[in-house]
Formats: sequence, C-alpha cells, structure tokens
Amino acid sequence: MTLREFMVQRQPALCERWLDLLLADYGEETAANWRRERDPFANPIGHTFTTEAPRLVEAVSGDGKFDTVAAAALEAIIKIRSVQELAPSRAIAFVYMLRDVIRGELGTELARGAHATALATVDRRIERLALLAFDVYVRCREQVFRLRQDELKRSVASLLRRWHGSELPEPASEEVVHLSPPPNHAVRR
Amino acid sequence: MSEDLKPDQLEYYKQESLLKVDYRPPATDWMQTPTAMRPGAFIYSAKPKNIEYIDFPNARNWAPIDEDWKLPTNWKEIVIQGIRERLDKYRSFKVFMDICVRCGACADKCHFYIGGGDPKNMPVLRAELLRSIYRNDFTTAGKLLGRMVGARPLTIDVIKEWFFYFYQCTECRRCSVFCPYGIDTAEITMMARELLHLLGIGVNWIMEPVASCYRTGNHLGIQPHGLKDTLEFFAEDIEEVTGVKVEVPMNKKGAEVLFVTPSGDFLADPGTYTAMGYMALFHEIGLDYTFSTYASEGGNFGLFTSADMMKRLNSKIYAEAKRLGVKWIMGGECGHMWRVLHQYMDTMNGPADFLEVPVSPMTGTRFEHARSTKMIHIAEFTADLIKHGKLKLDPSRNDCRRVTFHDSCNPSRAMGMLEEPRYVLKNVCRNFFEMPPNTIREQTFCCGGGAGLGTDENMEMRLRGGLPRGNAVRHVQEKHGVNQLAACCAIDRATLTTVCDFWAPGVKVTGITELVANALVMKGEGDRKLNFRKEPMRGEEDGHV
Ligand code: SF4
Ligand code: SF4
Repeated sequence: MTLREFMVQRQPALCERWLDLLLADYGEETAANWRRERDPFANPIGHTFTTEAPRLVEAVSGDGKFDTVAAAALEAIIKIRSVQELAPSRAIAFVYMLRDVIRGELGTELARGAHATALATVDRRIERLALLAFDVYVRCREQVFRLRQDELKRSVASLLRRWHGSELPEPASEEVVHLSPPPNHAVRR
Repeated sequence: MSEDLKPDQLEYYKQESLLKVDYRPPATDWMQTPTAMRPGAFIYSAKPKNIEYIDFPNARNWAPIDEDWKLPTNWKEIVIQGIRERLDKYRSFKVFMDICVRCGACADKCHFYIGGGDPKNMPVLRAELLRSIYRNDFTTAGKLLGRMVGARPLTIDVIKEWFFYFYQCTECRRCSVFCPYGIDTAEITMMARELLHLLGIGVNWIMEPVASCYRTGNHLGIQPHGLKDTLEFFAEDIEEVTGVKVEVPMNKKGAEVLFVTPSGDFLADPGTYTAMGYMALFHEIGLDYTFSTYASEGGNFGLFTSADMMKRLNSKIYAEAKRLGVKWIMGGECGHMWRVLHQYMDTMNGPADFLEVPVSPMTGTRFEHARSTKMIHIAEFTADLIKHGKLKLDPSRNDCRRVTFHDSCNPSRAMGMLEEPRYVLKNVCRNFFEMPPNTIREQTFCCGGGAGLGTDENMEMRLRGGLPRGNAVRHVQEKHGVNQLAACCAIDRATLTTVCDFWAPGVKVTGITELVANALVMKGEGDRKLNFRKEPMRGEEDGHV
C-alpha cells in the first residue's frame, strides 16, 4: 500500500489524534464538551473542527484539490482561533502538529524509513498549509481591526452624512476579498 | 533538530522531537487558575468625570491592567456589607446563591463559552465566582469547611476576576432557560456589578452613557437642538426618497402618544433607517405623537449598572409623559428597554395612573397587557395595524431581500414577544426564513454585545460571543440565500452588523420598521426608486440603477 492509501484508510484515526491535540488548547472540560455535543448550532466549534479536519487530512494526503478545499477548511478553523485568546503561533500550531500525528498513527508503516519520499511530499504540503494558515490568520486579524473602525464610523453615521453629504464611502470591510468564495446562494436572488 | 538535514533525507524524519511542544494549558482547579487581563477581553475603565457626575464612589483614574486598582482601604468590608444588604433586599439573590446543584445543564449554553471555551464563562462557574464568597462569609458550612465546600476568601484577585468575567456576561438569560431551578445568572451578574460599583469599578462604555443620559436625556449626549436637527435631517431624507413631507413633532404638549426609542437610532447606521421608518409610518397613519428631548432614550444603561441607576434613568419617561400630558407611551425597537419596561418599570416608577390604557386610534384595539405600564412596543402596534388592514403594503418592494429574524434577548426572553415581529415581517416581505429552532425564540443566541459590552476594545470577545449567532446566520445564508437579518434592538443593529461581517459576510442588518417603511405605500408618494439607504429599492436588477 502507498502512504496515501494508508492515510485514506486510517483517516478517522488520524483525525481523532489531530483533534485531541487541537482541542487540548481549550482544557479537558471544554475539549470533552466540544467532542460530545453533535448539534452544529449548539456546538459550532466542535462541529467545525470535526468537519474540516478530514478535509485537511485529505488535502495533504494528496488529491490535487489542495488549494480550494484546504483553503476553505483552513479558513473555517483559523477564523475561530483568530478571535480566541491564543497567541498567533499557538493559533496556527495545529497545522504543524499534523506531522506528528501522521508519524504517531502510522509509526509501524513508516518504520525504518519506509515511504520516505511520499512522506516528504506530505510534509511539504503541510508546510504549504502552514504558510497559508499564516496568511489566513493575518487576514482575520486585519479584519477584526477593520471591523472596529467600521463600527466607530457607523456609530456616528448620521453626523458624517450631514458633513459629507450622502456620498459616504462604503465601509472598508466590504472590499475584503474572502479566501473562500461566499456561498452561491448569497448572490442568487 | 540538526539544521543541515534536508526534507529529502531520511534522517530528517527521525527527528521525533520536531515541534514537541506541549501546548496544553495546565490542568488546574478553577480557583487556582489565575485571571490575566487580556487585551480584547476587557473594557476600559470608567472615567472619573462620569463617576462623579452620578455621585458614585471612588472616582479616579485607573486601568484594568494596573496592578493597583486604587480601592478604598476598607474595600473588603464594603463588599461583604454590600452582599449582606443585597441578600436581605432581594430574595432571588439569596435563593440563587443557595439552590444551584451544579447539575451542569447551563454549562454549555452561554454564547461566550460556546465561542471561546473558557470554563469560567460557563454560567455555573460564572455564578460560582460570587457564590464561593457567599459560602465563605455567609454559610456555616463555608465558614467551617472552606475550600471543601467550594468557599474561598475574598481577595483583590477575586475582585479582578469578577470584573473580568461579569463583564463577559451580556445578561442575556439564555442559560436560565435551561436551568431546572430557574437560576438567572443575569441577575447574579447584576449583583456582582453593583458590588463592583461600590468600589468605583465600572466600565466607561456603560458609565459614559449613564452620565450622558442623566445629563441630557439620552445615552449619546445629544442635546435638544441636536436631536431636533437630526430628526429634521431624517425628514429631508424621507422626502427625498418618497416625495412625502413628514412632520417632526418635538415636545408637543397634548399629543396622544409619547414615542421613546433608543438614541442609537438617531446616530448609528443602520438604526437611522429604522428611525426614518418610524417617522414615515406615523405620518402615513396620521398618529398624533411626539418625540421628547428630555425622554430621548429608550435604552437604559442603568440596567447594566445598578437597580437604583436604572430607576433614576427610567423615571424620565413617566415624568415627561406627565409633563406633556400624553395619553400613553409607545416604545421603539430597543432590546433591553423592554426588560426594564416589562419587568421593573411598573413597580419601580409606576403605576402611571395619570395615563390611559393604550388604545390604537386607528384600530380601536385596547392593549390590555399594558394596562398598568401604559406602554406598548411598536411591533405590537404595527402588527395590529396590519391585522386590521390599516396599512397599504407592497411587499414585493422587499423581494430582493431574503430575510431572517434575530430574536433579541430581552424582547424574546424577558418580554415574550415572539410572534408580533414575525407577523409584521411576513407581511412586508415575501422571503422569510427562520434560523434553526435551537437558535431562535426563547433559545435565541445573544449578539455578544449586550449589557454594555458593545464597545470596540473588546472586539475579540464580542466576536467569540457572536459566533453561535453568526454560525446560524451563515447556515440560512448558505441554505436559503438569506441576505438580511432583521432585529428589533438598537444594540443588535450595531453589533450584529459586525458579527455578520465576520461570520456571515454578505448579510446586512436591518430593523423591522425599515422593512415596513419600504413596503408602505404612502399617500402622495413618488416613484419609490430608492430606499432610505438610498440604495435601489428593488435591488440592482430592476433597471433602476
Ligand atoms: S442549570 Fe441551574 S442548577 Fe444546574 S448548574 Fe446551572 S445554575 Fe446550577
Ligand atoms: S446570562 Fe447570557 S451571557 Fe450571562 S452567563 Fe447566562 S448565557 Fe452567558
């Protein structure tokens, strides 16, 4: 079996290990809560993590869909972590942890340097993912600050309109290009 | 690992120590977990001038990140005495301190916990922050057994922890819906904030509006001439887009109805468009009403401060109704205003015997439920107008809007107003979609910015708290193409705009009456090409652009 086949076959186990590490950031009690509750609205974070993690594992195990699928999945997770009380390094560290996860789960299969070339490819993808994670994180943080500015402007909008006439410029945040495209429905009428 | 290894070398992958960093926080008991004042999660302290203005104690310059909070030397006695007085005064407080069985039903119901994961944002733990002191000083078990029964002594760190976490509670009361004993954590938060105020600990985002309201009649400090200007400016805008000239009744003695709305609607987008909606609607039906410059605030940041402050600010509404000689009062689209009006006003500053039970002059409907407060909500009033066919509506004008409704915490949970806004919305727009059942009505998720948390220095906290709501909005956006979120609360209109921009970009926030005014066919109107936002009324596809 190739490394990719192993990764596909053991994907649930890989994701479980990875989620353990990801959720460990939040302490035991919260990690347990976020694993237990299945309702996506009662537990949006647990739901997001469990839905997106397999997509990222899938992406690094290699099927050519790296950019779109991985980017959307990554954005979903990092957006959440960008407004939690995590240092930037910690907010994106989970991407790097995937390397340990693969080595831990597939220890026997990778023993004595087996699949070294394939593993190198996977590692390179993880590194790309980490770079991408950095972009997404910074973009989210920039948006937080833009939102603060927008809100201040809106809070005195009727005064600003009187000074500037009705041609008030649109808030900056509306021009933000989102990494993942907005859902199709949003533009459909 | 060795720097000269390359990823294509076998040895590279034998470096198991690669990134062997333990990212886990230490597993400590909550009492041992120290509170760090983290930027993005606290609100700036109240400026001394605002504290002085309302005669609160210990006005001074201080900051939450300071080591020394400059508390009075006898701070501990003040707090313990404060707890004692409140236990005597409020039976509910005593009961809530005693009866929690720590069943955990509330634990994962708070939006701040759901979005952030900090255990001290579980309602049960939030309450324990105060309850542990109560046990220590007011129960025999606590005095004897201390930590074993969840008691701990009062220290400066406890005070700091209270400040940090009781200003991470929006007093939304979602947790209380799930508590088998009906413990209302919002009331515990209120008590904790009152205790903090005894030491001069408050946040500026609340105390500035409180002082402004006390001085000028509204949170934003708009003075009478400024308010008149603003509303006249709105009237000009209304005329520009509808061709109809509406009146701006101010302090009009003998008017039938006093209309009171949050001052946010006068200054902040998108509330301004809702305010224009009120004016257009009242003009169209010929309501004899008046705005007031003295009672120019529907909201009441006193509610987020102390019971006494709430009473002081609220008293202006009845005083003005009496001075103007109106028959009854109507309230605009505000959230927490309705907790104050529905649950406290009558006993606090009422009964308003000098007023009449509200009767709609258009339909003759007598609003019996308000026979004591003499004050009704505009959504009730509008729903009644529609039910009696008193409005000519063209809902197709809102066809480009795919609308969902956010139940604001207070009108839904504190007032029980669930159907009226929906009835109005379904009559003024044809594309209405509900968010999932466990995120609306009694179980609605807070915007994350209520109870005086809606400022910008705590934006990360608000976005975490807004995640559950934003997530549900995103769901209906993906499923039904929802592009408008309607909310009947001024704080919501400000804060949910931000929440949606972050979690569900593309969804805009609107008030209910703005959508009513879009659909309202006014006598003598011109071609309604534009809405009050001066955007194409029917969207960009109808050739008007
Ligand atoms: S649900 Fe009520 S009784 Fe149970 S832990 Fe929460 S506050 Fe206590
Ligand atoms: S009242 Fe609302 S914000 Fe406060 S603890 Fe309960 S759910 Fe959380």
